[in-house]
Formats: sequence, structure tokens, C-alpha cells
Amino acid sequence: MERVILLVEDNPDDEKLTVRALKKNNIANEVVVARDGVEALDYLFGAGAYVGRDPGRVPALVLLDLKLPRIDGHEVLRRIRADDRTRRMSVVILTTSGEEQDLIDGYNGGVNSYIRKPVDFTQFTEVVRQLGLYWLVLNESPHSVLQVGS
Amino acid sequence: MSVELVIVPVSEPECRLVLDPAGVQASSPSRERDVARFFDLSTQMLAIATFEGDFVRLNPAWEKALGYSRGELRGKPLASIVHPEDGALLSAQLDLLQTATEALNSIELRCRRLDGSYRWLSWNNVALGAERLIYVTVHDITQRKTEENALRESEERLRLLVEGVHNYALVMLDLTGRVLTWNAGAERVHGYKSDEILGRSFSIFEVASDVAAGKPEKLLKLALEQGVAEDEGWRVRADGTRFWANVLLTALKDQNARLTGFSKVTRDLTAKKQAETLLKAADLQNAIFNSSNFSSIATDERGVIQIFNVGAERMLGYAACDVLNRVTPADISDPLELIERARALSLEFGAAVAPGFEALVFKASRGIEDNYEQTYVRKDGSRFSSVVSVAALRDAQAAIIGYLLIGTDNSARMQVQESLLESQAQQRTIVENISEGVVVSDLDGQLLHFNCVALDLLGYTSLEQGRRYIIELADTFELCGLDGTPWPVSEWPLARILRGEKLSDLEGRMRRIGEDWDRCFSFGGNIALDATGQPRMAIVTFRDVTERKLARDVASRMNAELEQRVAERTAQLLTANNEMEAFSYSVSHDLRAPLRSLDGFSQALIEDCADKLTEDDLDNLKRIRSASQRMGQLIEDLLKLSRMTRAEMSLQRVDLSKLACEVLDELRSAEPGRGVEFEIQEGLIAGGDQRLLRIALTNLFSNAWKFTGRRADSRIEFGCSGPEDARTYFVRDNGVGYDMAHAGKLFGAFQRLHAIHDFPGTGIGLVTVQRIVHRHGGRIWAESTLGQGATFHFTL
Repeated sequence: MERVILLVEDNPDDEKLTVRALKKNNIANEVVVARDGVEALDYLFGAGAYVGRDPGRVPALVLLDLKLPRIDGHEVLRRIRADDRTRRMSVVILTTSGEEQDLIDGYNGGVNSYIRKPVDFTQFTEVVRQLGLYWLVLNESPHSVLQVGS
Repeated sequence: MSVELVIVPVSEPECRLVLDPAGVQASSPSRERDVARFFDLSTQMLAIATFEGDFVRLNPAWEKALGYSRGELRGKPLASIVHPEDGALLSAQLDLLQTATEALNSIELRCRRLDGSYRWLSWNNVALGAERLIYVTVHDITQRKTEENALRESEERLRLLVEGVHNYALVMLDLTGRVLTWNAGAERVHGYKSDEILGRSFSIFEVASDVAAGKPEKLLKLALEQGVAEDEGWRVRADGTRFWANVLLTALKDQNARLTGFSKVTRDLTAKKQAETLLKAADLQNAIFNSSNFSSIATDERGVIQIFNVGAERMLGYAACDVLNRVTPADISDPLELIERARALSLEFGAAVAPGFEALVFKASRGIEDNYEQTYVRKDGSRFSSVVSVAALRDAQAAIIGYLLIGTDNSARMQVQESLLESQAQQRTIVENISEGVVVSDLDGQLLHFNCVALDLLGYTSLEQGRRYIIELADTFELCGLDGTPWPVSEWPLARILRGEKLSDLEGRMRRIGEDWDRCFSFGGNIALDATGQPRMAIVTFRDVTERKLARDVASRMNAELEQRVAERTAQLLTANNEMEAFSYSVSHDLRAPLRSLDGFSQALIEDCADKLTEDDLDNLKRIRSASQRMGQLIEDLLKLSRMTRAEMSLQRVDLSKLACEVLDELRSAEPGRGVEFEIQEGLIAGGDQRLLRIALTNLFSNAWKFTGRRADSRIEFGCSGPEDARTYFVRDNGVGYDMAHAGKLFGAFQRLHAIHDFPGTGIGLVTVQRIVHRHGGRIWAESTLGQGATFHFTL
């Protein structure tokens, strides 16, 4: 069974465009959308609205926006990396911000990739295609290995 | 010339042997011939003379010795060739021979040669009474005689010298210093007769202490080592008295340089020494007496002037001859002063003292030391003040024989006093007129003087009010520091100065107790020393700085306000900066997100509904996308510009030439189809931020690249001009250029001089370059001609 992609995005337009771009590139993984940091963490750790969800079922990829209501992207990343269950999860920051500080904080926080969303949708689609190709197909993560093993 | 007569005794047989030629002659004719030959050949002068003294026969030696021919002398008297002075001697001897008391004698005579010179000849005469003949044997002794005479004369002279020298003791000593010879001078100088002293050591002449110190031995040793030893000092005579002697001790050595003894020459210098001493004393006395700085007047016991020195002449205007034996000092003194002095003395001693000379010497005559101020009347009638010291002159029996009045010129002192007063007055004038308050106190803190300013500042109206002890001022005044800390009296400026502190610019407040009087003063002062460096008094200076203080307070308050305002502004700026950053951040996020939606959904429409839309619809959607993307680019560039301004600079050496090459390589690889000629000057090194300078160069080269795009022979240059410390860099292209009329818009944000479809761009590039150049403290300008390219100059 294909593992989910967790899209953490508060802007519905961006959410829709991202999902469209994924589909356009024939990435068929289920996309779970969290609209702020709290929701994202609840999903990951089986809390709040997601009580009962098995945190052991780690998403194949987390696409994380930085500017989020309640808990921002950097904090979400920090908590992901602080928990043994999600420590090795693939997290890609997908954001509008090109601020150097955000880049630095992102990589310091242990992000796997930092992608700026281009304004040009054609370009954006291309970026998403490459993301999917790389993180979902080419990249070997510990979780995918374990999952194959189990 | 002296003549010596030598009588040679000859024994009888010998005489006979010689005197019996007749016997020999008679014995044989050959013998006689031999004798005759001997006679002729003898180098000795041989002659036979008559008893009367005439030559009978002479041998040839005479001719050789005296130059006469024998014929000339034969028959002549012997005396004819004898020196006239010796004639008498000769005739006396001849007489003796004739009287036969002596048959034989020998005499030395001077005989004249033919050339007139004399020779000493020794005559041996043998008389033969029977024949009345005298046989004479003569030999020349001139040589010996000359030597003898010379020696004798020399010895005689030396003897006379030694004997005759009375002023020097000339003494020979043996090796151990014992006296060997003694001359008259020695007797006179040392007082010993020769028989008393010969054989005794010369140390007897030395004083006992010198003998004890080994001085005689030292002198001998010195003479031995150096040849001569000289010493001047006391010596003892035979009678025990001392004399001042100069002694010269010389080592005597024989031809083999062996020490044979010492000569000692002693001279009595006592008289000379005494004379010197006397002379000195006399000179001194004369000098003192003749000093023109003192009037020295000596009188007889009645007061009549006997001596009137040059000082007196100078001071009083009289010549000595005017007053000597004529007047008394009283006659040239102020009569009124005399009367007053006499009155005072009469009162003091209860005896009538006459207002004349007696009044001048009354005390001195009683053996009381007396110094007083006396006014003389000069010859020209003017007055002359003098301090006079009077002494009575007494003879050996202590009877007064006169008086000596020595006076100093008091006018000089008076002048000094006057000038002193004058300088004091000047000082007072200065002290009174300076703008600071001056208070002078003695070392006990008693306030001696306030200048006017001080009185004024302290609110006194008269000097009397101010003359107090410092402690009394505490009743009137309170002092405190500018911060209001009260000063106890022990911390008042004067008290601190009295403790030895040197104060300057000590500021404090002074308040009159119970009054509305409160001033700020700046205090200074120190201990004043006298000419010998001893502390004399304390000086406190102070000036009113109340106004200054107020002004300063205002200034410092304004400063504080200013600082406060600056701090506020800074805070505002910081806030603005932070807001700016927040703004930039939200721009980057929130402005771009809608653009993305516009673009994305337009694209979605184009993709999803292409078959339902007209060409026009599609074109409109494309325009929406294009505008969104362009706005996205604008936002992007704005953010870059904002970052440029905020970014931290890290200054380092930057190789601009290398940087330019890299940038151009990037441009070329981005658009490999274009053939552009580059000329980049090598070795352009500048101090700056590598990252920012790369951005600046990228912008400049991108522009050049862009605006030369329509030419086949595109050319871009990068170089510099000017000296190393003021370099101007330039980027030149041969592109389309621009109209200099619009040059002012070049560096404005979003200003574009070309249509967007001709040359794309947001108009941010040059603004960014300008920001970067400005941040490096440089400036940038451009020159261009439309159609002929542009040159951008910048400094760093």
C-alpha cells in the first residue's frame, strides 16, 4: 500500500495547486492535508482529531510550509526530529520564503530539502514532479526499508 | 799671574855626579867630544851663564824653544828673556847662588819667546863658585803650569763660592746622611759650628715629629730614586728655634754611577714667609680700609679726624685733606640729630652728654658696642643716611687713643626698601585688580588679607569685617560640594591648602547661613613659599561660577535631553527596521502567494478548458499569468534590494578581476550563443564584501550583456584608472546606450529607460549596484551616448 504524503499548508489555493501538481505528475500517494502545525503534529502522533491513528505509520514524505497558524513550520520540524518515531522521516520544506534565515533554520532543524515555491505554475509543477521522483521513487529511507521488511 | 817657586833639595853625591863635567872632560878627548855632542843634541835647553847672569854658551834647543838664535842670546843677560814680573825672582836666586849659600836651585820662570809670547820654563841652576859660572838646565813646563793654574783657579772659585755663600747651607752628606762638610752658610742657617756638627746625622735639623715620621729617611730615599728631593717646611736650629726652610737634597754619584753621598742645600725662607704673611694681612687691612663701600673715619681721642678713607670721601663728598686734622665727625653730622642723641644718652645714662662728638662716641668710650643710624651732612649740604659702628681705639695700656667710625651706605638699603615697597604696592595693585577673589592667611589659618574682589564676592563691605580666623567664618557661611554634600570646616579649601594640598578648579557652593545667598565658586590655591623655600602663607583664590554653573547645567540638561531623544530615535529606528524586516517577510510570503494562485489557476484553466475557450480567452489568461510572474519577479528584486541594504558586510581583499571573469563566464554559459568580446584588466584588487561586490558586478555585466544584445560585435570592458589609493573602476559596453538627459533616473528604483519588450528588467539592478557601492563608501556615475554604448564608473 502506498504511503501517504502529509501536506502541511494553511493556504487553500496553494493546497489545491500542490495537489493538482502532484496529480499532474502522476503521483498517486494519498495526500493528507494539515492546515496548521497543531493539526500536522496531531496527525503524526495520533492526537487531537487523529486519536487512534498509529504513529508508527510514518508518511512517505512531509511537505511543510513554514508560515503556519498556531505552531509554525520550524517548530513542527523540531518536534518531528525530537521524536524517535518520526526522527528519520523525510521532510521537505515547501515555502514561499526565500529568507536566508529560514533556510539556515530549516537545515539546522534537520530538514531533508528546502524548496521555494515559484510563482510560475509551470515551474511549480516541474518542481513537484522532481520532488516526487526523488523522494518517493529514488530515495531509500529507513522507513521504506523497514516497511518492506515488515 | 801667580808664580811658584820650588826649591828642590839635591843630595851631595848626586850633585857631584852631575856637576863634575870638567873631570869627565879632562879624562879623554873623545869623551869631551861626546859631551859636546850631548850638549848640542839635547832637547833640553842647556846654558852656561856668568855669575853676573849673562849667557855665555847655549845649546841649539833654545833656538827651537824660544825662537831666538844662539848668537842673539849669547852675551845677553838671562833676565832679558824673563818676564818682567819674574825678573826679581831670578836675580834673587842668582844672588843666592853667588853668595854660595845655595850652590844649586831650581826656579820656574816665564820666558818670552821671540814672537813675544811666554813659556813657563823650569830652571835648574848649578853654580860653580870657583869658575864663577852657572850651569843652567831648562825645560818647558808650560803645559803642566797651565793645567795647574786652571785647576787651582777652579778649586779656588768653588771654595770661595762655598765658603762665601752665607744665605745657603751647603752640606755634603755621606751615604747614611751624616754631615761631611759644613760651610759658613750652614753655620748661619743651622746655627751649628762645623766641629759641633761634622759626623752627625742631618736628621738633627728636622723637627721631632718629622723625625718620628721617618721624613729624613724618606727624603734620602727620594733623592736616591729621583736624583733630587726637594722639601719645604719647618726645621730646627741649634738653639731649638724653628725656621721655614727650603731643602734640596741631591744624590752624588761618581764616574761609575756609584752613589758617593748627598749634597744638601738649605735656604732659610722664614723672613720671606713672614713677609708674605704680613703683606697679605696688610693688603687685607688696606683693602678693607680702602673699600669704597664703607666710610672709615678714624679720629684721635678728642675726635679730630685722622683718617678719612675713600669710602668716606665718596659717600660724604669731602676730600680727606678737607677734614684731616680739621674737624670731628660731629661737624659733618646732622646737628638736630646730635642734639636728640645727646638728650637720649643723657637720659639713659643719667649724665650730661654734650651734643657734639661725645654724643657720637659716648657708648664706645665706655666700652659699649654701639651701632646707630646717623645722618651725615655732605659737603654739598645734602643729607646722607648711614648705619655707623663705633669702636674706641686703645693703646697697649688700654687707654683710648682714638675712635673708629665705620659707616655703611644706608641709601642703597633705603632704595632697596623703597623698591621693595614699590614692588609690594605693585603686587597689591595686581592682587586687588585681578578678577578672582584672593584671600591670604598665615599658616595658622588667620586670614591676613582679602582683596576687593574677595570682599565683594563674600559680601563684606570692609576689610575689617573679613579679618577673622577661618573657623569664625563657619558662623557666617556654609560650604558644600556641587552635589550638595556639606563640607566641614576641615574640608574647606583653605583648610585643605593649609594641610599642603594644591587646589585648582575645585567647585563648591557657598551659602550665607540664614540668608538667601547661595553662590557657586571655583576654588584654587596653595601654600606660598618665601625665597628660601620655607612655607610662608596660604593663598586661596576663588571666583564666582554661579552663572557658568547655571549655563553648564542648562547645557548638560540639553545634552541629556538630546541623548534621550537620540535613544528614542534609535529605538524608533530599530523598531522601524524590525517592522521593515517583518514587512519584507510578509511581502515575500503573502504578496507572492496570491500571485501564485493567479498564475496557477490561470494555467489550470488553460490546461483544463482549452477546448472551451476562444483564442482571445487564452490570450487573456496568458496575460494574467505573465503579469503575475512579472510581479513575482518585482517582489523578488525588491526583497533582494532590501537584503542588500541590511546584510552584514564582511570586508576582505577581493580580486575584482577574477570576480568579473566568473560573472562573465556565468553569463556566457547562460546564453552560449552570443559572441561577446571581453576585456578585463588583470590584478584589480579592492577591499570590500565579496558577496555584495559579486552582486554589483553581476548587475553591471548583466546590463552590459543585455544592452549589447543587438550588436554582432558586442564588446564589454572592465578596468580602472587613477592612483591606487583613489581608483575609479569602470564597466564599458558598446551597446545601445541611453540618453544622458535621463541620466538622473538611472539609479532610481523601478526606473527604466527602455521599453520592457526591448530589454526586459525590473529597474532594480542599478539601484542595487548603487546601494552596494554606497555601502562601500564609494560612488557610482554613468556616461553614455545614445547608440554608442555606456560606461559605468564607480569607486569603492
